[in-house]
Amino acid sequence: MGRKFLAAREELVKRLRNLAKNRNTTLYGLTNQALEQVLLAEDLGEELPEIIANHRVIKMAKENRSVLIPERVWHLVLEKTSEQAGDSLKKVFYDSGRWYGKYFSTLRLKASSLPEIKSFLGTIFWNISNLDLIEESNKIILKLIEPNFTLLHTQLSSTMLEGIMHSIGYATQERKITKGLVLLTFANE
Amino acid sequence: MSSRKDKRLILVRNDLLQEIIKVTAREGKTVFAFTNEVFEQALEAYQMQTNPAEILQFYIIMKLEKDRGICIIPIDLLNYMIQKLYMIEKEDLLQKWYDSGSWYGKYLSVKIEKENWLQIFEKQIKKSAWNITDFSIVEREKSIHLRCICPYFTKESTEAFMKFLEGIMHSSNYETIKNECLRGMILLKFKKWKQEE
Repeated sequence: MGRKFLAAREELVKRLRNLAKNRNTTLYGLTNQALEQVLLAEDLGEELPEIIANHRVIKMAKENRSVLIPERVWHLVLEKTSEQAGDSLKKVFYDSGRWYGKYFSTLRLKASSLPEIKSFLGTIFWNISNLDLIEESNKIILKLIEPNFTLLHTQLSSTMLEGIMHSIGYATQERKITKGLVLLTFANE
Repeated sequence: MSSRKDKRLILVRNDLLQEIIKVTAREGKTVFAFTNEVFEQALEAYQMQTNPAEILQFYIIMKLEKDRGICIIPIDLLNYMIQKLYMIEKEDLLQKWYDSGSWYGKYLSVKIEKENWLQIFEKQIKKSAWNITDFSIVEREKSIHLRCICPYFTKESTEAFMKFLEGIMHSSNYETIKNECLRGMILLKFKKWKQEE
């Protein structure tokens, strides 16, 4: 197979060369592997930076002892438990959110960076079709749109999101919730 | 802007370089900028104790999970709720897990080849059910032995997950001949119950 030269930043090449050395491999092998994967990702219509950001959050969720469960089971569990547990369920969701938020801000140094919080929420709540964070004159507006959610599911998701935002350092200023729609306004504490 | 001094030339496979040229032309980037971006991402992947190939493979599995309607839930929340519900609606709850497993089994058989079904199912569970510390499927004397160790599950969550696994296996024409369930441990034995056409 033919070889050609490719230019890259010197400091990156240095770091890759050290890495290759530590792994008992060659710089040629290591760089080809990275390029091959990025092209594979392109073929899938994805971009490596997004894939890596996604991986980081999933890894965090793994360490945080989260599990993947079928949504249809989750909905049943949610509806039925709420009949029994009532308001105490809200507290459980809020505490879970706070835990997630605390964990996130402990691990990530740039926890206050909005794109990073957005990416974190988007991955943790990947079943929500539209989850957005917007900065508007010193306020952060969180929008959630998920037409498949029941009112209960919407309320509990909103409670969990508030828990996350509170432990990252934001205070709720306004809350609007209807079935499948949440609009939360936060201010930096 | 990088000066010539900040740049280094490295050897790469020619076929990869040709592909990169096509991608950068399509995206309106320079090859230099694209390469730097890829190397930065690759270094970040290695910092996370993995590599770009593993990350991509994991991403594909996660995408499959997302497409089949799976959500991420803190395990304490799940355990709390299942425990509450178990006392009052045990049968309904277990049936829902079983149905969900049946659906997943059918979904997997549509997505993957029959010959590799068990191996891919094992791999999929190992990758996505990350709270499970040990999961194996072994074929022995015309029967299938499934072992699952999930130490963070309560007794109730373990039983619910066992129903999910049985649902998967039954939808692929296996019947349970033995099941043992202790807190955090599932031991199942199956045999094929009818010949597929």
